[in-house]
Amino acid sequence: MRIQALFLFNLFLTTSYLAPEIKRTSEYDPAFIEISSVKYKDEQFNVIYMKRDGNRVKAKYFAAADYNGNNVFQRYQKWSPGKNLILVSSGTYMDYDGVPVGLTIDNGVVVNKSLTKDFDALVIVNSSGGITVSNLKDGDLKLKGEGLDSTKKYDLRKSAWDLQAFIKWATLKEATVFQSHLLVYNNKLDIAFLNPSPAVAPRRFLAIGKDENGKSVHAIIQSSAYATLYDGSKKALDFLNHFKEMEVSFMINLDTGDQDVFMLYDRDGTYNKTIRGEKELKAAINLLAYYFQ
Amino acid sequence: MSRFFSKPLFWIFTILAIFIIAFFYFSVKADYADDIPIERDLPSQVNFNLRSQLKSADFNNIKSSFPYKIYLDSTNLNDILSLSLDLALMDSLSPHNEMLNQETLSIALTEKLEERIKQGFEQYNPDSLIRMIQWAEKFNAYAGIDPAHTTLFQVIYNHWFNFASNTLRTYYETDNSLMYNYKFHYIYDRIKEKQFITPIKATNFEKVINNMLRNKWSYLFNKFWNATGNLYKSVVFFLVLIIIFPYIYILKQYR
Repeated sequence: MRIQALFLFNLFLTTSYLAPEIKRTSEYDPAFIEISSVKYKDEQFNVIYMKRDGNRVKAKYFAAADYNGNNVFQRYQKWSPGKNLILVSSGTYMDYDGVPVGLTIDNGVVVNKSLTKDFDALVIVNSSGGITVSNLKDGDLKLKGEGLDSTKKYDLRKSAWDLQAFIKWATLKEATVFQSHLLVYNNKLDIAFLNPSPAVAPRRFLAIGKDENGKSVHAIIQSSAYATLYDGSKKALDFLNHFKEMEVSFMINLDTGDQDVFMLYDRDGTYNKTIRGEKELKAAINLLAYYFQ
Repeated sequence: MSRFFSKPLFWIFTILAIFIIAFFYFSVKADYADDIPIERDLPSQVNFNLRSQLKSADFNNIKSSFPYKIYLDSTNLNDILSLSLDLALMDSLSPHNEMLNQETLSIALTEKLEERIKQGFEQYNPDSLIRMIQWAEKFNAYAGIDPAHTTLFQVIYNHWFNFASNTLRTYYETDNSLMYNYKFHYIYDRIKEKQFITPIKATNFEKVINNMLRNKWSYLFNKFWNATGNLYKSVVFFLVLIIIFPYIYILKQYR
């Protein structure tokens, strides 16, 4: 009897602990999201291929604590109930003190003002759930609204005036911005062979571009094989170009190091363990979530 | 003598000695100097006549025709009053172009000034960086009390704090042991306080310790097995043997 009671108590503890992760009440239309695991040129790729037709698949980024002191993890927990979640992943790298590296603005709240020279991708997550990336090397960012000249090209690296105008614009528009390694730009590798990241690690990327029908797609691609950033990017681009027939407008890096966080959900909201991060969700100081609406 | 070298105690003491020497070397190498440069008072005004220099300037194309070189050669960058007078003069010569005039002066005090002084920051030079921060942060205060010129002052302030952050990053890339220097950390904290965060990462050793404290043993082993070369694995294996060996040796002695 005592053993049975102990068993039931253990079962209660286990299910109550795992329940929020295993089963969610969300659901998404599988016509828009394809989860696959493919072996291509002796390399295993896990891919989440998300069609952006009709703006049903949306992105949301978290990097700042809110005014009540809730951190990124707590904000995500408050936001996610009722959302048809597809996945959540760590975003850009974090530094020694647990702050996202590079210029980071979350919904108009500035988290890090420093425009790092290390990352060329300036990622802008707009309020409609779309993502655009500007190559900082080109210095050709265009901004709309807040009384700005929409034809002007802003060079945030070379012009302090332009950088200030951009931060002001992002704050007023409550925009969301972060920096990351720009690995592919206009379907070409944008990372040098001798880049400053020689370490080998499993790789996870976010690629945005067009599918074989010319429609907008976002893809999360993960390879568990340990590779340098250059090798991983090169293989991922080859896979996306030739196997998925995707034309990649840009591909950025998602952190698989100190905040290797990734959770994937099936269409019925079940936690899919095919691709997962090594760390718990609360280890991330910035999160990129995709959901269906 | 050769028998002595073959004794385990010799190797144990040798390895211990190497660890102790390495510890002292890194401890001594760190720069603990805490003599932070005293913030200077504003020096007396310089009588620079911008009006005469602007006579030949084309105000339709002021960003290109502004005499940046002579302006930076002659003006007193510490004197906020003279900067305000320069702006007032430009506004009087080219009315209705206030923002363009501010942008022009911002170019002088950011990009053009950086071109001049950046060479002095190529080598680790914390005192100059601290003085630069002391100078630049005043513009943040000016932005708060002079609404007409807020943008100009914020641009100058943001540019130089950003410069400090990226310069610190370059120093760190060259020598990551600098993060243990007092002045390096002082600058890091000063700019971090203003939300300019320099990307400094934990060293691999610090990451290992952090993961040990969090009991992430499987993660550590996974990283060790997959992300290190054979030489590294052999060295670690050898070190583990050295750690285990004294225990085995002592146990054998007691038996």
